[in-house]
Amino acid sequence: MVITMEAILSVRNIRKYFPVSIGFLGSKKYVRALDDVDLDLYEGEVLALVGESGSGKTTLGRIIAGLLRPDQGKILYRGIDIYEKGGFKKEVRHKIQAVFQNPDSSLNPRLQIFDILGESILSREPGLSREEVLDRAIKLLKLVGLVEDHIFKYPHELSGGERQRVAIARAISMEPEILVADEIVTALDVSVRAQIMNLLMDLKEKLGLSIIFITHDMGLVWSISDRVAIMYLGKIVEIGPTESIFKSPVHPYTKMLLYSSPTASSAEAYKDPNYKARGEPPSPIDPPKGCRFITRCPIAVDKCSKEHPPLTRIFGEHMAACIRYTDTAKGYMLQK
Amino acid sequence: MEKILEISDLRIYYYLPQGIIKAVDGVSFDIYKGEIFGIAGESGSGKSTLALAISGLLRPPAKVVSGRILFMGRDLLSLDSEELRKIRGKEISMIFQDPSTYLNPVYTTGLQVAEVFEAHRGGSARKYLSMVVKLFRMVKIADPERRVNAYPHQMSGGMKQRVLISMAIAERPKLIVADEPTSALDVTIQAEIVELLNEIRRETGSSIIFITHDLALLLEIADRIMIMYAGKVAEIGRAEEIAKDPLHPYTKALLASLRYERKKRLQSIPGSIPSLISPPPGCRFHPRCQYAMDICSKRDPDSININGRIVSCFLYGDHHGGDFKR
Repeated sequence: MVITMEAILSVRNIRKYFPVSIGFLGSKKYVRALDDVDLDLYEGEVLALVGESGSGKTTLGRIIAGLLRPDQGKILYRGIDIYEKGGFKKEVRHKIQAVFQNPDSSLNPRLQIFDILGESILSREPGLSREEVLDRAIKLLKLVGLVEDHIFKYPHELSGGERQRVAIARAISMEPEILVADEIVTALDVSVRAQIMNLLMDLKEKLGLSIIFITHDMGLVWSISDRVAIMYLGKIVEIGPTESIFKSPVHPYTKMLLYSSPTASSAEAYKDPNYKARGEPPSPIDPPKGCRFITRCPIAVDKCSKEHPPLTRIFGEHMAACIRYTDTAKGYMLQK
Repeated sequence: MEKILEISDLRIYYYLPQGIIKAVDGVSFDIYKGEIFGIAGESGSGKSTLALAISGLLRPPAKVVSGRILFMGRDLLSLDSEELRKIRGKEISMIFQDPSTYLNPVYTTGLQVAEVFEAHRGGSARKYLSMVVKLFRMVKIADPERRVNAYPHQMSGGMKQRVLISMAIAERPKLIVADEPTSALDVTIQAEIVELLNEIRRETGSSIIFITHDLALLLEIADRIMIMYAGKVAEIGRAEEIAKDPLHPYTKALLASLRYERKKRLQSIPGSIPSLISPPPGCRFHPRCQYAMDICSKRDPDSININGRIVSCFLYGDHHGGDFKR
């Protein structure tokens, strides 16, 4: 499928804070999961969302999938605000589907695969007969590489990889255009992981999906994504075409992430030993003033504590949020 | 090189109502002084059962059916629980995946580390707090004087893992068994913890058994690697050898699945991990092996030594059949 530069989905100015009470007197504080995030998903692309725990990548995925309302901002599907008037708009609900890390918690253990798939088939097309539902469910199973025999089994009778296939089958039963895949292979064994990734890419081609692929595995990002957005403490700190991000990273955090990833699975990445991992990410309840990465950044200067820098265009589609980009992007300028 | 641990023909079975799970089935290997020995395997490979056995923490329904675990010449399997307790935490210590599970939420972390000294040297834990400060400094916990008074919930996951590491190195053990010590951590924190373990090995001369499902990580930190599959040793070799010239078809397949090429299909291993209650006959990998021969479903391959490397596969040694190219 050809990737157009047309956004099928636009994230505009999204903010999500989760209230937490701290201490006996319960002074209200907030986990600042997402802070003014903007993002476009182009039709037909795989956009990887990468970040560590607390970066907000999962929260963003849930908001896009219609599972969590943002405090502020808009999610536009082909120009339609999906949360208009508070609720998730019915007409677009099925267009965006999500698959999560752990199929055990997303598949009802008391239902047979037939009922799990049947439920969503019927919600899409009410009034189908049992035979018709069965027929569609079997087609779906075959589409995700399972066989007819699986249809009257319970989730626990399947392996982890097979359960994830069922979760994918349920998502595509809604005939979505956008799939949010949140760490879908993280819980799987290496040998099964590749099977599921290949399935995902086959379905993308067959069904013309646009995919938001949430992961922390830079190897997978390299393998399948067209563009990457790197998140840190509720902000996108760098975004751009995958090759560009891997070969000419600009943000110090991206460099640290690439340096920390085992070489066997990220051999193509640019590894700069000056960006060896150090420090711990601060709590999203109390993010540092100024640039959020300041506490771990090896090249921070005084000015960095003033404000979190905006995303700045480095080259073409490649943007980074670092005031020192003229220094950090040196390699980039030389290469081009 | 001095051997500190010698495991021979170890078999550990779990006796469950559904049947007998042969979790570790005839495993042999040695650990040398000061090395990082990596054990890689997927779920059900037996790697964690092995960790528990070496740490003396196996409990029913697990049972050692045969074999020996020689630690500095003593057979750990013949010691009583009192003798084991003296070794555990002092000469052999452990680090596990989820540090939160191993820290008591109602005591300060400093006091919990001090308890290691208390257990082995007596007296009150409090008097060892200054030693804990030194340990915290060693594992690079910032502001250690203050942090010894912190409770687990006041620390991040990476920090808690550092506390557990400080506990593990408190008595300068000869052997540290680390079972998925970084799997619950973010990749930058993982890199920091791995570097810390490497430093500790250099400074204290302890040997480290590093168990993980992440072969890519092991290739970077381990001196030698043992690849396990369904309770058996597939192959043992130096990390560079495993990376450049894997012998066992399973190792080859694992490495291929790690090699991510831009916009190419990932190399997958067909099928799934077998049940350990009724594993396939012969070589346990043969149903998924692209090089499988007749003999593979009939007999279990012996481990053979090829120039110091161990491999359990009929493609090598006397049974070499066909024109298999390495």
